[in-house]
Amino acid sequence: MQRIILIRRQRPGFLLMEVLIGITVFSLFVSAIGYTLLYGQENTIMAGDRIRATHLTQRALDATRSIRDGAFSSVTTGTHGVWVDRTTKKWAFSGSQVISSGGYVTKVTVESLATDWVRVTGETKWKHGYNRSGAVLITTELTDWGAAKPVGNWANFTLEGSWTDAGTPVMSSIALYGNYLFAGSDTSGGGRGLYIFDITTLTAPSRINSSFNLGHATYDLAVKGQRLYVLNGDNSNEIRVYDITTPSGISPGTTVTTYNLPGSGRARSLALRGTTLIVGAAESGTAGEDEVYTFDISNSGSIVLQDSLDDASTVYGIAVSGTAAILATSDNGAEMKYVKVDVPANISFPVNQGYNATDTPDGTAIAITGTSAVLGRANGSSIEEMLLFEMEGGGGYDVPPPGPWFHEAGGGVNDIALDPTGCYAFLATSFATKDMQAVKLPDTALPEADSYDTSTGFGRGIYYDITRDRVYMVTDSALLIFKPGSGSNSCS
Amino acid sequence: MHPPSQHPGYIFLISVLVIGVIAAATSTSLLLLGWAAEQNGLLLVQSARSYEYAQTCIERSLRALRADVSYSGNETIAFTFGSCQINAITGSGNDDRNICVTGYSGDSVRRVEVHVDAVYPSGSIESWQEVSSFTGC
Repeated sequence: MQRIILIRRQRPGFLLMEVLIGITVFSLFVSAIGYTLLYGQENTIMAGDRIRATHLTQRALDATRSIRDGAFSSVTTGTHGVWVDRTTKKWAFSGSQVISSGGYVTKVTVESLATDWVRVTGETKWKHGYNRSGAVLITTELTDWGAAKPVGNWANFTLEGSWTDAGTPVMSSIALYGNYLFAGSDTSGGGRGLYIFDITTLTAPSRINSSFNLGHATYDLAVKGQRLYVLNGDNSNEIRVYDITTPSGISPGTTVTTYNLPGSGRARSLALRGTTLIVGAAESGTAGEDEVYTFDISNSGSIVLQDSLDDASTVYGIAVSGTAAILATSDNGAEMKYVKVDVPANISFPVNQGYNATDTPDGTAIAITGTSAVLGRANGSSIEEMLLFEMEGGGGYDVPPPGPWFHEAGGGVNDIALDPTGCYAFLATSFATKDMQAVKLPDTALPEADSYDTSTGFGRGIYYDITRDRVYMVTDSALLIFKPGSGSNSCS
Repeated sequence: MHPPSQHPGYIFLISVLVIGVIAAATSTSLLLLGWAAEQNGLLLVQSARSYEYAQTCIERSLRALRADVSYSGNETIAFTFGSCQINAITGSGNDDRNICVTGYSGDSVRRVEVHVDAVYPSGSIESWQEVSSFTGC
């Protein structure tokens, strides 16, 4: 007892101090733990708020995109809420904002950047109590890239520009690459086989790379990517592929690859279907010398034979529609003929092979737009040289009736171009006073909308350029560029 | 009869320490979880923004092609919270054009590839999809 009293006397007040310090330390510890718990929980909840707001904002932007897809004019400037319209069951603007459950306020603000271009800012705000507030802001832009471009009034077209050669190269087919136009030609009259034009200035096209000489007649041309496919009369290189990255630099050195078709100089026509090149050839009775070929050109540096078909006619023109290649042929029993090409390695003539037009003039050219196919024929005294077919199925293999419908071209149709809207067919013909003819397609009477008489020879090749709304035609000695007249077309 | 403990309070002290360590570990975990959730939320916003920037680049490319089909891409566009990059547009003329774009915002990168069937008479799209890497450009 005596000793206890002595100890207490040596540590006066220490127990109280220890208790106070202990309580303080413990309180700090508990506070830190508690704050950490609350902070972590708050962060998690706020992250949840942000995720939900992001979702709502993106949904509002997607809804605006959907409204644009319906009609660009519906994306009006201002601040909107978005909702699904009960009547149309489609997204629509409604009010100036939308409040979702949980108190999230979402709105989209549309600003006009041009007549066909808007900036859309989606924003979702929330405020939950004292410390849980925030906003998510996401911006995108929308344009009216889907708007249809009207075709001009080709019922009153005029010559805009031309280039004329001093000789008579007898130019034929046309292909386009940006501001460059390629034209094939014969060689018998001094032609170079391939002509290259810069058409940047439509009123004054200029020939470039004039020293280049293909050395063989060109029958058909096509451009895919930066490759020009030239179908020519070279007995051992009927298909030539050029790199046209720099058109002014085309030379034998820019030849990417070639292909030797069976026989000699038989290639006549070509068409592209995705990564498949379809080639038509002159008729041959020799075994192994077929008339229709398919090639794989998925590798732009090679041409790989897929399949071929024998036929008893020359294929002068090829157009592609769905799974079918449609041919213009010399077959007196089927001037328009189908080939099934959906499997390029196994092509075939379908049961329903084509159409036997009146009399025997050859099918010389064919073009397709939408469900309309136009066949051109050589001149005949008792036939119309242009036929319009309607392929209701859209995938080919349909034959009349209904149709076909006819247009008297007055001369052989050497080439055909169609505008993609199906308003006009443009014909390059051998009619002395109407070398170029525009024919109105929606009217099944197929009336001539307008025509042009050139003194540079017959119309040999023709091309409609939708991007410029221009028609390019080559004749025996000239390149002609036509433009539509003022006013709108009367097709719609 | 148990002998009196030689270390009074030790069990209590050890218990307090163990509980304290558990509490500290738990709170640290919650703190990290909260931080991670916050980062996820921010990343989600960045991801959404980079996607919309990529879409913006596609829209601008299509508009530029309509204005001039020889438009070749190869440009970068800056925005408030990021940017988007248009690769060289493949093909030529009106048909068969491939557009590849990348949207950036923070650490987020989104890629979108579009195959255009035809620019005119009205834009015709064969495919419009987000990809992990480009195949057509």
